[in-house]
Formats: sequence, structure tokens, C-alpha cells
Amino acid sequence: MLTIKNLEACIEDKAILKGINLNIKPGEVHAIMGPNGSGKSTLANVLAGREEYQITAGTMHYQNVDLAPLTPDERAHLGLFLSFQYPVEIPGVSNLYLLKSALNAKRKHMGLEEIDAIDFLTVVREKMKLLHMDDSYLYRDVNSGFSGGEKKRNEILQLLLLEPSLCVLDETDSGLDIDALRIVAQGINMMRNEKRSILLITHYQRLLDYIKPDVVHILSDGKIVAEGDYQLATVLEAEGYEPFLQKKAGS
Amino acid sequence: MSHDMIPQSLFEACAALPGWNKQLRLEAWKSWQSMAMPTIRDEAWKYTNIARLEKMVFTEVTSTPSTLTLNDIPLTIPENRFCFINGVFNTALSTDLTAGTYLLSKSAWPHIANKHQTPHSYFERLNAAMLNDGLYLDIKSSTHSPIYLVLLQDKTNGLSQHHLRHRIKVHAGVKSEIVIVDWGLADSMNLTTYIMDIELDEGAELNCIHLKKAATKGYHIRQTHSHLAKDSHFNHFNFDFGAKLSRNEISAHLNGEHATCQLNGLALARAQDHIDNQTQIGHLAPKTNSVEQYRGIIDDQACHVFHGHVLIDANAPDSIANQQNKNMLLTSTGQAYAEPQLEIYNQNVQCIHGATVGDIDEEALFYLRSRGLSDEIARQLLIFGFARSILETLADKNLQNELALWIKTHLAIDSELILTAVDF
Repeated sequence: MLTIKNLEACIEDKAILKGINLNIKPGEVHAIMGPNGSGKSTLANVLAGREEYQITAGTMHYQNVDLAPLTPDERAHLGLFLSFQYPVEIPGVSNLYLLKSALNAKRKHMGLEEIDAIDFLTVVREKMKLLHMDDSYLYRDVNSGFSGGEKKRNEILQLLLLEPSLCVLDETDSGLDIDALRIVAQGINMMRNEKRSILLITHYQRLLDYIKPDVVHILSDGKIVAEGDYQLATVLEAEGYEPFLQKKAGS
Repeated sequence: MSHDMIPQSLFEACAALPGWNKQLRLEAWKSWQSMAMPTIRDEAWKYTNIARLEKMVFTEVTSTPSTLTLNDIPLTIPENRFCFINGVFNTALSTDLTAGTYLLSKSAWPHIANKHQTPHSYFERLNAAMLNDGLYLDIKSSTHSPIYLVLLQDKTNGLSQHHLRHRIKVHAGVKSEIVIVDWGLADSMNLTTYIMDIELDEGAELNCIHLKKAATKGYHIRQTHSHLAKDSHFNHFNFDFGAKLSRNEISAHLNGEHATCQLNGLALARAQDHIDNQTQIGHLAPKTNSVEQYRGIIDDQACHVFHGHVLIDANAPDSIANQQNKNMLLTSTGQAYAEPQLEIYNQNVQCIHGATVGDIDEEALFYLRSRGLSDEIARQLLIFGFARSILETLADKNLQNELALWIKTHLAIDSELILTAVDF
């Protein structure tokens, strides 16, 4: 369970998050929607432990562990996974190597032995099949020269392989065509179970047509200004953010 | 006085050695003495200060018999090899190749001398005056490829100096590969000049892989000059593991139509190392093509200089030149100087160049850490990945793997990490 209380964060003295409150229970899927610059990606990065952001107030706990003092890798070991809005290209490091190291880092943390090379290939190929990815992905350098859609698919492949208990998906739908969106959404839906929490960050409703969230939050200027069920996303799609932003201004 | 570093007596002892052309030595000696040592005021030596060399006095003529063996090099050295210890050809460690194909040692002198009657630069003149040994490889078939040239430097008591010059000729249509392993023992202090002239006839192809781990305190100055005839291909790979001063001057003259060259290099500089890579590519005929990729990984207080000069002559239309230089600084005290220089006299050509100096990519570091990799492993992976981009331009996978191990040891990177990364 993820509990965020009055979280405030800034980057280079610019306040971005101005008091976020969020509770995500095991098995729940939450969506955070909001206009550009509202702080959506900052929230995702602060959760994952990016050092450029400073937490100035508030707390965030996952499974009753305070996340703030933990490094990004320690948070990953705890089960947190961030699917990047812009997955980073890493020339010289093969995708296969990254996948294997990431899985072994997790296994090591769990007190398990490193996975056997053959077993690993079997597992990873199975997951790739689900995402309609061919073998060449393994031998290419991490995200290097990948199209926008390929990069996002690669993020979901890591997600399927690492089986995190908290998935934060930062605009996973951007850069995907309709077919790719369906495949990626299927991948995410496969991960849905009663123990796993998912936080979807998105601009548009279209991802939510495939992955129905339990709760939708609207983020504006670093604060959550509205909350509701899936219907809220439909209202948002019809009316835009403006009424919600005005409501906040009026309140 | 800049010429006191080589006492007259040392030259005379050298000139008295039988079998060499004394007159040529004497002319070179005089021409060396008439020339001042390059300083940082010279454009080509702007970032490389060798003033300390002037204060040294070299004493040894020949070294004591060496007990070095090929096992002292952490690399598998196959057959078809020529070994030199402290600048002198060593029969015992070398393969006895068919006479006539390769001319050895002093018998190679006329072939080498032809090429250096008018030595040009300061160190070329010194090399011509003090030459210890040389090899003429007249490659008429691919039978013995790859050929290994192993240069070992043993410990010496005083300040020693070694001067070698090789000439390599690859005949028309012949494909060959040469691997040069230049290995100096860690704590030796010495001066080495090593010059190689390469000639590629029409349609010839040569891969030349140079692995250099000079002695930590050594001054190692190498020149590799290549001349390419029509349709010939020269691929040069320069892996430099650093020294007090390691200077590599590499030139490729694309003299014939459709000649192509690839000059790739990786400089791994740490501690007080100074690696200076000076490359020159001359597009002198139509439709010539050059690709150049140089990278530097700079740790501690080390320094990497890259100066890449590309000339496109007016007579070289439809030529393509692509030069990239990237440097990764691991500390705030390391230094990198990147100087691309393009000189173009024909407008109907394509030229691309780029140079960067930067730290480890923080975005990439965060990405890897968010996948559960520790800061240390993630950094090692990014550093190795940076090197690997050059390493994987080598066609020989075995050599790639062996070099990966060298790089691992040199950068103190987890062995498991590297082996796995390269195997993929």
C-alpha cells in the first residue's frame, strides 16, 4: 500500500508538488490526469527517487517503509517500478544484459540465486511474445534507435519480467499507435491482480478505455483538485480540464 | 640544451653497430641536433608538454638479457608472431616464418631506409639516428594472417630508450590483419619511438589493431603512416591503456579512387596518464571514404587529447568523411581536449564531425538504478558501454573478449559484468 501525505517537492527552488495526498491499496488501479506542467511526471520521479527533486514537506510510505531516504535501486528492490515517459537510450549496453541484471538484482534482494542463462531466455522470450516483440530486441542496445512505440513496449517488457508490486506508468500511452496501445494495455492488464497496485499517469482517456481505473485523480498546479471513479475521466474527456481548474480557483 | 638527453657517446655506440648504414644514421643525428624539441608553443604539441624529457639523460645502449616471456602479457599470442624485447628482435619468442615472405631485422634495413631518408619530425629524426631494429613485412598472401607484432619492454636500471621502425607492404588484392601488442612493464621509465609505414596496393585490405600498454612512467611516441592505392581499405584500431606520455600520430593518405579508411581509437587514461591522439586523413582522390571514431575515458588526474585533421583535396570530389570524438570524464580533475579540424577544398563532398566531453549520463544512471542496479554497477556498466561501442567495431570476437578483460582490469570493473556484456 502506498500512502502519500502532504507531499511537497521542488526542483532548483521551483515548487512543483504543493501538497499531494494519495492512498493506493493493493489491487487498486489509480489514474492521475492533468494538464501539462501540473506535476504528474514530477510525482512519478519523486516516487522513484530521482535526486534532482527535493522533498520539502510531507511523507511517502510504501508497505509502511519511508521511501524518502531510499536510493532508486532500494526502492526498486522494494517492488516499485517506474515506466519512463522518455525511456533513456543507453548505447553499449545490450537490452538482454539490462533485463538479466535487473532481474538478478531483484532475486539477490529476495535471497535467491542468480537465474540460469537458459531459464532466463525462456522466461524473457515468453514475455516478449505477449508484447509481439521479436528476438532482435534482446541484442539491441537499450532503447538505442528504438522508435517511441518500441521504447514503451520495452518498458512494459521490463515490467512483466520484474513483476513489481507497485507500477508507476508515466504516460505509457504517448507515442503509441492504436495497435501498440492495445498490446501494451493488454500487458498491463495481465499484471493486474489483488496484490499489485498500479498508478497510471496520462493526459488522455484513451488508455483508460483499455485499463479501467478504480480511482481517477485530477492534478493541477501540484495539487489533486478532484477525485472520482472511472466516470470522472469520461467527464474530463467531454469537458476538458478547464471546469476543474476553475473550480479550484473558486474554492 | 635539449639534445643532452641522448649523449654523443650513446649515438656513437649505436652508429658503430655492424650491419647498419652509418652515413644515414649520422645525417639523421645531425638533423635531429639541428632541430629544437617541440614545445607547447607548437600547434601540434599545444596540449602535450614534453619539457621534462629535456632534463633526462638516457644512458643505456643495449639492455641486459631479458627473461620476459609471452606469459607476461595477459593476452593470447598465437603463432605467426614477431617479438621484440627492448627494441631488439627476439628469435626465441618469434615464429620462424617462410624466408622471403618476411625480411627481418637488419636485412630489412634497405627497405626501411628507403622510406626515411629525409626524416621529418623531431622524433622521426631521433628514430632514424638511433634505430635499434626494424621489420619489413612484404605481404603477398593472406596465408599467415593475422600476424602478431609483440613489443615487450623489460625493466631497466637506468633510463632506457628504444627505437623501432617497421615497413609493411600489402600487395594488390591481398587481405591481411596485423595485431601489434605493445607491452611495457609497470614501473619502467623509458623513451620509445615506434614508426610504422604502411603501403596498400590496389584493392588490398589491412586491419591493423594496436594494443598499447606502455610502462607507467614511459614516454611512448608512435607514428603510423599509411598510403592507400585505388580500391584499398585500411582499418586501424588504436587501444591505448595509458602511460606518462603516450602519443599516437596516425595518418592515412587516400591516394587512389575509392580508397577507404577507418580509424578507431579508445583511450583509457587514469592516474597521471597523458594520452595524445593525433590523426590525419587526406582525401586525395575522388570517391574516397573515411570513418573515424575516437573515444576517451578519463579518470583521476589523467588527460586525453584528440586532434583529428581531415583534408579533402580539390581533386577528391564525391568523398565522404565522418569523424566523431567523445570523451567521458570520470572525475572533475581529469582533462579532455577535443579538436576536430576539417579542411575542405571541394564542395561536392559530405563531411560530418562531432566532438563531446561530458560526465557519466545522469539520466542513464537513474534509469539503470530505477531497475534495481546499484550505483556502482550502473556506473561500471555505463563506462564499459561507452568503451564497448569502440570495442565492438573489431570483427574478431575472441580479440574483443580478451580486450574486454584488459579493459575490465584497467578500469577495475567487475569481471562478471564485462564477460557477460561482451558475450552478448
